[in-house]
Amino acid sequence: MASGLSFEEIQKSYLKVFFALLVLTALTVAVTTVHFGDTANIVVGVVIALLKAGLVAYIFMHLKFDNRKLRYFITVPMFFFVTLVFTLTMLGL
Amino acid sequence: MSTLAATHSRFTTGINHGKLGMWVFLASEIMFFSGFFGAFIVLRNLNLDVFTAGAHQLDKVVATINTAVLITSSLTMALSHLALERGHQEKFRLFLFITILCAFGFLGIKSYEYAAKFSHDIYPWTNTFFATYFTMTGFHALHVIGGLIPMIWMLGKSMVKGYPVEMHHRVEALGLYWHFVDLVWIFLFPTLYLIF
Repeated sequence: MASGLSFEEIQKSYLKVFFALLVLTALTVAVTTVHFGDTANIVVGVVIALLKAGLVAYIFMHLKFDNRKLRYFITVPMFFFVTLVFTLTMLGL
Repeated sequence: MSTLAATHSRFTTGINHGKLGMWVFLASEIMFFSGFFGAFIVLRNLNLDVFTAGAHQLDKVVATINTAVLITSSLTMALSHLALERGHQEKFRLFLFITILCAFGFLGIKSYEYAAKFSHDIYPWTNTFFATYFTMTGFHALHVIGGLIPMIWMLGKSMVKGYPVEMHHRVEALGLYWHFVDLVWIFLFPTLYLIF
């Protein structure tokens, strides 16, 4: 990965991601106490989960620093996953 | 040897092959878990009352703590690879050890949750919600165990004769798998515990 950076610099960015993930976890629990409406609550939950997933994949899984083509391994199946989730939810099947 | 290589059309990917293989496997894993999520949505829409009541019976506090434990293990896994890549054997061992502790912690908390459900006479065959709950969390727990085995092996190896720095790609591939297990939990947690 980004070999130009020192151990401490990368460690610092990992810690930032870690705290962001903890904050987002707290947020996703906190929003359940607020009722936006059944569908809206689910959408908020999914959006926060996607944000967390993006942080993990981009930084912890090195996609930010790696060969760009590797991103397709996660974005293509994730696109189908999100499509599946939304289609099934919207159709009410 | 060089003539043999020349006659075969070999294209270099610029990516370590072990890592590329792990990514292909992870792409298949996304599809594996997508099936469960698809089934969950369909079954939920067909049995809305059962699923709402079921989600209320789950322990949200314990699951939130478990989410934090798994996120911590992801951080230490990333740090342990970074440490090995930079040749810090001691830090590599320490971070890998913390990752293993967190993985055991996660499984311990999960076992406590399962035991609490069993003591209230709730089993996978109780209703459709708990059938999907135990299937999804059970397969996730199996993935955690699957990650623990090579982690313990790597820690053991590094304690006996030190882990070779040039083999840091193996730790990176294991890390990719471990972060994926964390990713699955990131989606499982709101799906099972927070939608009601």
